[in-house]
Amino acid sequence: MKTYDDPELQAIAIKLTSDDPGIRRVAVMDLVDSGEPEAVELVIQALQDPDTKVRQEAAKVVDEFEAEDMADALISALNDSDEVVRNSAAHALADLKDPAAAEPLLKALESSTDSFVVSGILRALKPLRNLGAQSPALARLDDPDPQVRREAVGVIGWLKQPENLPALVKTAKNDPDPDVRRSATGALVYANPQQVGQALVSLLNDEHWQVRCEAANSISKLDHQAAAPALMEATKDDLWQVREKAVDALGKLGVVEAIPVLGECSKDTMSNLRKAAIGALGTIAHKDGRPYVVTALDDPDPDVRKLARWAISKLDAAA
Amino acid sequence: MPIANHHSSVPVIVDEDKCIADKGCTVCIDVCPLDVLWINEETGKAHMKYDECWYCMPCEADCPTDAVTVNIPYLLR
Repeated sequence: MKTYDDPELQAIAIKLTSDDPGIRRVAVMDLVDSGEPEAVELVIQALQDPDTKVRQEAAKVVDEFEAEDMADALISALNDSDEVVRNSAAHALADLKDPAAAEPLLKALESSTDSFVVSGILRALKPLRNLGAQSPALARLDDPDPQVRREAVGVIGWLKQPENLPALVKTAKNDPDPDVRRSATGALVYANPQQVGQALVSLLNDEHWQVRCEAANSISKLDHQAAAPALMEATKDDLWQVREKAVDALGKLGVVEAIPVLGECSKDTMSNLRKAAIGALGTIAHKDGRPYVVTALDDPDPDVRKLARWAISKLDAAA
Repeated sequence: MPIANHHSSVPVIVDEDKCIADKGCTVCIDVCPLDVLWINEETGKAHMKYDECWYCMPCEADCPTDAVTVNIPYLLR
């Protein structure tokens, strides 16, 4: 057995050789507190322990160490018989963002059926942007588990491949889970406005408010000018959160025709919305917006007043 | 009036079958801000030595084996 200079680490190493899995487990728990870089070796050793509980405990502490030092051990842990271990390994590998991890992750994805693990692996694959993940992710868009579908949307969104847009649009419009629809709506931003503009406009009428918010966001990110009338309509949404995003988007798009509706929003009872409206009027910096901004200089909310002063300076600069 | 000298129950209950204090674990003892948890010399398991508890819960939350239960009195819930 290897000996360590640090007496604490040495004591842990000795405990890790115990026949009692309970003692080995407690030793792994103690590893976290060791500042020695060599402690990683013992974590790797514990990840291969015959006892599940010990491996689980080791999996819990992996994120306290540099994943780089134990990439191989983590990759083999992806095939662990225990779900907790597999999932922690996928998480730690995701932090690693090492392109070399893509291959084993894809292999592990093939053999995984558990939704929890599948979503963990997909999450790890996402930042690697490996094209090999495309077809498995597309296939998982029809998974019965919404968590898996959401992670699959994430993978596809990060890949930014134009050919995946129809699948993403379909998910954004038709998925039964609002959270999945929201992710898909947010993922559409890599497209050309012509390709997804219509879909995003229709998503402004989704039954779930977070999807509507995300649709307004995506429209503003894509600078989809043709959506202006729909956004103006969305400033009358039942929920102020949606109104706020629509107002933000109108400001970013610089829609001069929207000034009357923005003025309407600058008188809303919800101060967050007033703030967004004044911000948008300042961004557009068109003289027609000035009366609303001047009124807002006396707003009861100090944040709105502050923003109104900023908007006045923008209007003055534009004049 | 009879005087109760012994508490029949304490708020922090440790399941001795689950507790691994005898293997060297001291998580609950370390996290307790009042230092009221100790190791029972006979069994090697953790137990509540002093009946004084803030019901702050880390002992229950951090126990690696879910052996600790804190019973919060009804009026504090």
